[in-house]
Amino acid sequence: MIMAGYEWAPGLLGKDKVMPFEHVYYTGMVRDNKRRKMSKSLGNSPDALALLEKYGADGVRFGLLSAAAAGNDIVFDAPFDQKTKSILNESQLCDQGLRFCNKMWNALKLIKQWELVDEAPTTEAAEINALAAAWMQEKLAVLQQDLTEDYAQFRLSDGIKRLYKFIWDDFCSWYLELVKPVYGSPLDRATYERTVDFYSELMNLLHPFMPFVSEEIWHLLRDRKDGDDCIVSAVPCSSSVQPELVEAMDLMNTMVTRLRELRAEKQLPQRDAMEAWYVQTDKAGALFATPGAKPLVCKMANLSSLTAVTEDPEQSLPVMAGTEKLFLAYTEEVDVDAEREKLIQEIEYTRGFILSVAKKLSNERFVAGAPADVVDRERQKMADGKRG
Amino acid sequence: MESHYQPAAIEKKWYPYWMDKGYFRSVPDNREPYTIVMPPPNVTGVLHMGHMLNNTVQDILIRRARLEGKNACWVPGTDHASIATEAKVVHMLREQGIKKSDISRDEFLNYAFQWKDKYGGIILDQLKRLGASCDWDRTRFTMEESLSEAVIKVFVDLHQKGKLYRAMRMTNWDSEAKTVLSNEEVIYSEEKDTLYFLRYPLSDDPSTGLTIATVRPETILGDTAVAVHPEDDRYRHLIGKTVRVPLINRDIPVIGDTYVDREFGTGALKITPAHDPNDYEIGQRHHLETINILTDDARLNESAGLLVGEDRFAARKKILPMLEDGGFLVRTEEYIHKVGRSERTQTIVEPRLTLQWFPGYVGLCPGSAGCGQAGDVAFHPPHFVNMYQNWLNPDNVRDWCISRQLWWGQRIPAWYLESEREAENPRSFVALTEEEALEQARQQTGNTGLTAADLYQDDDVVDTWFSSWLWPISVFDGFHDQKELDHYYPTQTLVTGWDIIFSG
Repeated sequence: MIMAGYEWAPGLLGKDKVMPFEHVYYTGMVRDNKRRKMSKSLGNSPDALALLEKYGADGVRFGLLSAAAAGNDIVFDAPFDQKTKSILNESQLCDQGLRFCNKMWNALKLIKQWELVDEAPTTEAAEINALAAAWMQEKLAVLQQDLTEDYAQFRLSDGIKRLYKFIWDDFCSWYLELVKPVYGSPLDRATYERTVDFYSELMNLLHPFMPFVSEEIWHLLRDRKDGDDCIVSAVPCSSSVQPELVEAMDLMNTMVTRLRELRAEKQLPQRDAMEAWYVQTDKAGALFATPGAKPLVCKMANLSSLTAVTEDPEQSLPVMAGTEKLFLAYTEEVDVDAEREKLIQEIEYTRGFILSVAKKLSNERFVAGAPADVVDRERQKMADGKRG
Repeated sequence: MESHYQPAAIEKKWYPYWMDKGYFRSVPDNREPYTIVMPPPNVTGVLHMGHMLNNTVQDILIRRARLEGKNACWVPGTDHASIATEAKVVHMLREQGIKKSDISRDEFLNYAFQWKDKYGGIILDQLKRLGASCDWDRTRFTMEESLSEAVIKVFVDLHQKGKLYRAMRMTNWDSEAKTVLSNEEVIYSEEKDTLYFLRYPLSDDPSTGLTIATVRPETILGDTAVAVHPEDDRYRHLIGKTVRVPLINRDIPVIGDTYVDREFGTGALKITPAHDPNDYEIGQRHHLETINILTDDARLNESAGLLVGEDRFAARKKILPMLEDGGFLVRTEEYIHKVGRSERTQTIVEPRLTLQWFPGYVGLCPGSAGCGQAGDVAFHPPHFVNMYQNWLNPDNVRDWCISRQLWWGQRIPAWYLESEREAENPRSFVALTEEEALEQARQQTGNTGLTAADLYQDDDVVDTWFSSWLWPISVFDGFHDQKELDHYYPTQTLVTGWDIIFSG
């Protein structure tokens, strides 16, 4: 093709037009998990149409792309049947693509069931929503730039992985949780509209990779005029305005994560609102001076209060979030009946223990036959048991 | 809303919707174009994993360009896959009790087009399932009229420029499909064979002789020399003498050539110029006779002198006891070596001297610098540029045989004189039409009385590659009218597997 370009294009079109293409993108070979080239004659290639049937076109596109860096061979993960040794029309990678579709589907359902009002029901909610939206806006600006660079460098595999992570983690698991109204209360219409805008923008960015699910969600997000279709929507172009928000949200995310982990460890139910404190540093001070920051952490970690301290509060457990130190209220509540029951069980156990050791020591054959240090150890056990 | 995402129903809804809205359609306008021409899959192919990956990548790029507001144009199409399709049609006819040799070229082509209409393009429908947003109104096929015209035009143009020639060359012969193959259509793999050590007596003293080793004992019937290394002390005293080919008692010279590997076999090499590319070159150097002992379906012919009419493998079996009885078989050894088989018919490829058409690559790449400096094209990943440049290195470039002894393809626009049908180097008249060829013939022969009946057209077709290398120009009918070509050329991105780099 290049040689034909040299031979005829300048004559047909003028001397500045020679090459038939500006870029050549090499896809790798598709290989099986034994690294053999997939081919009909080897019988090691899954049936392409069966995969499309099973995982949908978007699932298959995701599966192929997430494994395919330019020029590198892709090792497709279809397994072989143990008995027949024939290849199965299955793929974890494609399944991950289908599960990704479901994740977005569930996020859409969540958004659609929210009850809407004109004004946020509380100041805290209004502040949280404003902060969350500003952060999402900022993250999206960065995402757009990264994707533009991915396309310029033909790093399409990086592109789909980036989108997957963003939509799953940043949008679904964090942003939607931030703005999700607490049970029984409504969401303000402005936040709802912005959320729909964000989701639409993500569908625009995802569309080249997963065209069907993105078009479907695009239309279910809001009523669209004729011709307002995802496939021809304009690539968004926003620029970063508050880069510091990304770092601030990362810190809040870490705090929430650490507090949740601590609660899980101490078996403190997440549904119980708890008191917490943070050590007043320059960083924490700046963070919690941001409108919405404190209520945001309180909402996500389910805290009844979050107060600055300069000394370790009593009856609390410390936890580190990066450089910042937080405390979670922790009083050992005494359930008298439960405690009594526990103590009685302990006494029973100790009695039994002493008895068994005493029996051993009263056995002359044991005392005579066992090495001296074993006997000593048993005597020590008895003493410990009696002391306990 | 459904509790789970339902891909099948949703895909069925949106694809026709996009089509109805004409979103995949592209016509030249004021917007910046973004063009991709799909490397055409075989018209009778079915979707495999490689296609899915390749076309997903193209679709991603074209959809992104569309979202960026560009005039996105993705041209789909298929190639006629001359040898693969012809093999399938021949097979289908055979099942109906029809032999290719019993019907005319036109009848065969009718069957082939029927076959293409019935099974062709399935793969394009399968690509729609994947979501491929091609401009289906632009679907092209390398055998359609306009693209075939381009092929003929280009053939004549290259010939006029002196960049295309016809020559007798050592070629890869598929004795089942009865056509030459390009090097890329020959698949090599290691196979187990037997190496036979055969003794050739000296003509003037049959009590002594030398021993050669071969895996193809039947080809001794085409031997015209035995070569040894000129510095091999075991043999150099024999250079200039003659030895006798077993069974047929032909006296052939012992020659000295540094090509011979003293470590291989016995260090003495039988030379069969008609049936081995290296032997052919040695034969050229030493002006040896070339005795072709095989028919086009790989049976021994009259020139073999023995076992005439036997298939090459049957002949191999039958010649062994004869050699043994004559005391020529010294010993045998197990031998593992690379064997080339036809990609399509899996038959062992026979090197064979045939008269074929070749474009001169060096002629096509002025100074080889032009195409070799691929700086105008960005390769992703970048290191592939090395492979490309290496391939275009004049030392590595071998002229590509473009003629095929098939019917499914564009017939070579060359005519020859009936009177020179049996000539070794017949004159050829390359032209767009028979009338033009006749005019050329009249001028060159000085015989103004020549008529069309005095000429005959080349029976062969050009390889599919000779169509697909024009694809980025021909899909826009660029050889005919440059209106669209001017808008869409150069295209933006070619998405391909790495192997296509070896096809121009």
